[in-house]
Order: sequence, then C-alpha cells, then structure tokens
Amino acid sequence: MSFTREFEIAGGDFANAGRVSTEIKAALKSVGYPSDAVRRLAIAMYEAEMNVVLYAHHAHVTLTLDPSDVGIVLEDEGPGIADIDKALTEGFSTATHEMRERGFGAGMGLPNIRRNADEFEISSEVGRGTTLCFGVHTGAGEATGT
Amino acid sequence: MTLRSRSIQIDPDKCRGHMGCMRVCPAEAIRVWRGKAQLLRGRCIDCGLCMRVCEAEAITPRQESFTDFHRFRHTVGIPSPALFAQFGRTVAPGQILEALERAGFNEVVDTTGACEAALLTLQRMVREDTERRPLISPFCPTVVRLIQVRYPNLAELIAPIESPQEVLAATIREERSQVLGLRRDEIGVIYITPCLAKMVGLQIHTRRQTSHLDGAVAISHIYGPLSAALASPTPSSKGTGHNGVSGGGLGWALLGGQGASIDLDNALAVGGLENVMRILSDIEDGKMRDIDYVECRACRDGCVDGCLTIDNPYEAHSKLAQMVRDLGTDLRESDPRVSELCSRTDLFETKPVEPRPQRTLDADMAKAIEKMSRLEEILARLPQIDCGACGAPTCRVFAEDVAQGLLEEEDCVFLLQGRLKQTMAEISGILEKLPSARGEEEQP
Repeated sequence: MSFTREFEIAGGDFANAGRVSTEIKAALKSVGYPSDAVRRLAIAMYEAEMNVVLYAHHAHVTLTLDPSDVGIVLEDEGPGIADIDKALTEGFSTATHEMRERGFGAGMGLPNIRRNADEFEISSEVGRGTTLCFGVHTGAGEATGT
Repeated sequence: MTLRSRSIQIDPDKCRGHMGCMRVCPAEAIRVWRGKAQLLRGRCIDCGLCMRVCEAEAITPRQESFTDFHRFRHTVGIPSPALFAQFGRTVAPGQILEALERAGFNEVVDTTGACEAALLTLQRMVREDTERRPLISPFCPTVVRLIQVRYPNLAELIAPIESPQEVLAATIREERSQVLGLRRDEIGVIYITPCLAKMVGLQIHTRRQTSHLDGAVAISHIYGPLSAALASPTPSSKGTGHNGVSGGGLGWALLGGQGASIDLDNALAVGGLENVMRILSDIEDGKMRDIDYVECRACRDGCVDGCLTIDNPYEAHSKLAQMVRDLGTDLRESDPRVSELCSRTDLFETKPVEPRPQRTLDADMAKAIEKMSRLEEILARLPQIDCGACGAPTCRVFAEDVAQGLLEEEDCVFLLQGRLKQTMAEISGILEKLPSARGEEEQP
C-alpha cells in the first residue's frame, strides 16, 4: 500500500513559505513514522521548499508514502543550477544581499538536504529548472521491500 | 467518547452545544455530537482553553475541594507566584501569605525562592549544555505534554529540570516530618495553582511516577475564603511586607520573566498555544539553531493568565510586573534558602522528557497509510469551509473521523445534501417510468 499526494509551491511567496513542509510533516506524524525519520525529512523538505521560494518560479511536489520509505519528488520551473557539484558544497551560495538580510543563503540548502536524506538525486537544466528527488528510510516494514 | 479528561469534566445537562470549545481546542480533542460536547479519550493536553470559552459553564476543572485535605495532620500551602497578582495593589505579598494560612492551612510557605533555584539550575544547564539547541523550558506542563504527543522529536530539547513546586514540596516534607515528629504521609503539601495542567501534574507526572505534592487547589477556588481572610485581619496578623517574596521568583509567573531573570542573550518567549505550536514547528524544521533558549507558555501571558485565576490577566500582569520592578529581578544566589535548594540537584535534575507520540491513524503503519488515502479522498469531496455543523472543528478532522469509522460521510450536511439531490433525481427518474406518467405523455 502506498499513498501519493501532490503539492504546489509558488516562488517568491514568503508569506506562505513553509506551508507545504508543515503539511507533509503532519501527514508523516499521523502515519506514525519514527520521529528521527520525521525530523530528517522535515528539515530536508523545509530547505527544499525555501530553495523554491528563494530562487524558482514554481514547483510541483509529489509525496509518496509507504511503510518503509518516504519519498519526495520536487520539480521546479526556474533558473536551474549551472554547477551542481558547486551547489552541493557546504557554504556555497548564490543568495543576493537582500536574501541574506532576511537570514537566508548561508549556503546550507542542498548540502543540508543531502545530509538529512537517505536517498538523494538532483538534475538540472539551466533556464528550465531543477528536479530534486530525496527520500528517507523509515527503518520499518523492511520485509515488504525487495 | 467520554465527558471527562484528566483535568476537566463536561456537564451534559448544562452543555448547549455552542461549539466554542470544539473550535478552540488545540488538541482537536472535542467533538459536538448530538448537540453535546464530548471528549476523545487521551487527547486532552489540559490547557483549559475550552473552559475559558464555555458560556454555559458546562466545563469545569476536576479538583479536590480544599476541605478534602483533613486527612493530613499538618497541611502546608505553597502558592504559585501568580497568586500575588490577584488582589489590590496595596495588598502586600506578606499579607496574602498570612491570610492564606488562616483560610485553611496549618502553614504557608512562599515558593519564590524555589522558583529562583529552578531558574539558577536552568541558567547553569543552558550554559553547560551547548550541544542541544534551542533548549525548551520545562516548566509549563501543558507545553511539555503538547511536545510529548504532537512534537515527540523535540522532547529531547526540553531542559530536564523538575518544577520548583515539586522540589519545594519534597524538602518541606523532609524537614517538617523531622521537626514535627510526623510520618511523611501525615504531612499534606498543597499547591495553590493558576492552571489545570499543574493540578493534573500531580496525578500523572510527566517525569516521575508520583508527585511530591499531595494535592492542588485552584486560585479561583480559594479566592473567596482568602479574600474574606484578607478583609478581616486578626490582631496578631503580621506580614505587611514582602516576607521573603522575591522579584526574581515572582517574574517566573510572567511571560518572558524566566528568560529575563537568567540573563540570556539569545532567548525568546512565546505565549499562547497557537503561537507555541508555530514556534515548535519552526524548531522541527531546523530554523532555530542559533537560539539558546525558548520559553514556551500555554497561556498568552504566562501563569498570571492561567485559566484558574480570577483577576483579568492584563491587570494581573501589570501588578506583578510592578512588584518585580520594586523588588528587582536579580536572583538571590547567596540567599541561604535559595542556595540550599539549588544544591538539591538530586531533586532538580530529572530524566529527559519521554516522547509519547499520539494521533497516529493506526498503530499499524500500512493501515495508517490506507486510512490516510481514504482521509484525503473524503476531504477532496468536502466543502473545506470548516463550518463545524458535523461536530468536528475542521473538514480535515471530520475526514479523519470518517476514515477512523467514528462517523459516516453523510454526517456532513453538504455531502448529505448531495446525496439527497441524487436520491431525488433517482426517484423522479423512477416516477417517469410509472404507467400513469407514460399514459399522460402518450395522450395526444
């Protein structure tokens, strides 16, 4: 049994930033995933959502739940990332002065997502957008997986 | 379904089904079914918001009447600092302590020294433990309970410190049993409480099996006898001053007062459960790692705003803040009583708060995911205007109740209306097929 739910994130919408990750977190809690898995996914999802709000125009998020895994696919329309390896370096950031003033852009976004996730994949096309897939193993229901 | 939680009871005869309680409950523990408020078992977090909004006064605290304490040979009342804000500005804390004794205790002991000791312990912990950030205040039992059940992964951030009234009660029992030659169980230490949660804490203590306190009396319950005692001082009445009551300890009852007296730079204070929930959610997202300490209070203004107080919280706040200004916020580290209490690390330091996650859709994860699908499927058909007519606070909660088998979809008036329209269309379709109807059509 798996469950899928879709969400939309609007770029630049600071007023609603964090809403999708909050909803996802609530869903994970009501399924009863172990708190470590919920915590890691919540942090990763919040970072991913903020990346969209800060840099992209729009993103479509698909959440998939099954007993042993929680998966996120986030496809955004935006500037894309020219050098993914660099973006995955701790401390690297393209945040503008204004973003930093607001407390963002410490260059922790992507590395922080990768650090908290058990699965992590990223692909990007400059001028089109970025697709980010990440997931957390819940340590439960291993017998059902293959 | 029940009409009682650990802290409150609902009188069905008085309940008029106004739904105020249902809408305000942060734990989504209340439903109004068949016109009466009901409680979902195990969900209440003892915040008392429902009691505040119930116009029919159908919701009351479950409390011991303070005459029930006659089973003890020696009773000691220990009042929350919030009590001192409940009377006129000219009434000194010393007078209140003295009148409280006459209102029904063998002895009354001020708690502000214990509050200072708790804050000094907290200060030391925040300075020594630099790993866990932000540390969350342990003193509001409703917040601790909320974190245990709804934010279980934050339980480890709660500073593991015992509440001052517990530590004080333990030391009072030790001392008095020696001095008075009484058995420990002959001494009754009773907390004068501003809130429900601290009353419940005695029954199901969050960190230990049993409480050091023997009971609690609501400030609102003792207010009458206490006012009467204040109005008729005896010739021997002493205590016109502060009688050892300290500003640093009084500040404990005010939102922000705890952080202020331990002098932390990166601290914030949050009052009111909806605000607390927002901050807890932010902490979960990893947003607050540069904050050292978060003081979270279920009541907007801290303990002076407790649901079992009498005076309006703004007036009470102003009075208490004035007292704190007059007495100074400094913690009396060198005061013998305070430093003695501080040295009782055996009592102050507790085990970490245990997470107790609740509100899962099913104990079995695969079934929980199945129910989640069903919930979203039902929710998509609902109007999502949270009208409350079904007796649930939101459409999402209603969908959850249906997915759990507590209700049927037609308990939603909008879905019922749709169903009726559909049935009527079917019936008129059948009517069309009746021979008489055909007969009429066939007439030239």
